[in-house]
Amino acid sequence: MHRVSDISVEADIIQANKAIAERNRKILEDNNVVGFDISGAIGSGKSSLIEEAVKALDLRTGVVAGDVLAKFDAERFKKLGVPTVPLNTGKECHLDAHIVSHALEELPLESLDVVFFENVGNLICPTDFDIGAHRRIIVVSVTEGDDIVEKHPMIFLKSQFAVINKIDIAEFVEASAEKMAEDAKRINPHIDVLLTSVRKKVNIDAWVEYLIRTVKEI
Amino acid sequence: MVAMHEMSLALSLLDTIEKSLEGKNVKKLREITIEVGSLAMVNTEQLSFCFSIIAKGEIFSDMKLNIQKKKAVFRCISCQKEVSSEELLSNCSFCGSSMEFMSGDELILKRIKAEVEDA
Ligand SMILES: Nc1nc2c(ncn2[C@@H]2O[C@H](COP(=O)(O)OP(=O)(O)OP(=O)(O)O)[C@@H](O)[C@H]2O)c(=O)[nH]1
Ligand SMILES: [Mg+2]
Ligand SMILES: [Zn+2]
Repeated sequence: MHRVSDISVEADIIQANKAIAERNRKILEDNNVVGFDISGAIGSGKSSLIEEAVKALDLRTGVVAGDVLAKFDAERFKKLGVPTVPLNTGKECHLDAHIVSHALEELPLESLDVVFFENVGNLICPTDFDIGAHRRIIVVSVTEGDDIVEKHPMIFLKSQFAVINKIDIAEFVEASAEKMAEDAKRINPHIDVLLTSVRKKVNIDAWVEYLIRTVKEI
Repeated sequence: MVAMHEMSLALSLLDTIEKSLEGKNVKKLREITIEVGSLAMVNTEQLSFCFSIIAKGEIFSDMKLNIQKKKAVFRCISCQKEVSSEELLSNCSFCGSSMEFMSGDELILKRIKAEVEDA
């Protein structure tokens, strides 16, 4: 005989990912490594900002390059002579904690101070997936249009630092970087916002300073 | 870009269901109820579709996936009033200050209705 039973569960479906993310953070911390999740729009300058940081930081850095086809970005970081792990996400549109946990196994964490995780260029899918970094940095550029921030509020809500890049060409694409910064602040009053141009080296020192400050904080 | 992170969420859902059924002698599922925060980055139609692809076998053959939306909750950083909303709120409707995001991005497996075989 069978009967119909109501089973109350109340289980967090993303819990599995959160648990692995916590474990990743613990592994980083056990090795005194600070992790930065660099999320943001496709082509907004994520890799360029990581390159600037790797060159300027007086710290031992490593990079996990996540992309649909990761080898292109990974080659750029390898050229700088830092340990780099390409993470091919294939059809997946975000990094999750599990795939990142395998990348951590391939990095010489004991001889690193900072790891940058370049997330897949996408302002939607990565939002709810904690990968185990200490801070999430969200990168957009003026070429996406100056309404890109207000169109994707959740990822700004879940980031601690925002970079609005390519301000050198703002006037040509008729975008207001200031508006984008205001939008980010309105969505998330706790977020710090920096306007940069990697091309023209505007505010790159401030970008590097933020990273140094944060590494000291953690 | 095809936003198919719903597939990984569907897999997690399947996993969570299987874990909840362990040792319960369930023959058939009738209804699964999940709750999705209104600000979770989940396309519920895609989630249903992905789940229907991966949930194979007799046990799922007559199952209904019931998706409930739950409003997000914000709290004013000055007057501390809490407001629930389907959309993101930036300013308090009482005093105009900034609002803090409290909840609304969760994806919860609430309950399972199932035919259970008595031992
Ligand atoms: N004008 C201008 N171009 C920039 C700036 N920063 C980066 N770029 C250019 O924008 C393009 C994309 O830069 P990347 O650093 O590869 O961007 P990304 O976000 O890593 O790109 P994906 O990983 O493919 O999503 C490159 O051609 C860069 O040279 C900037 O400040 N101004
Ligand atoms: Mg890149
Ligand atoms: Zn108020």
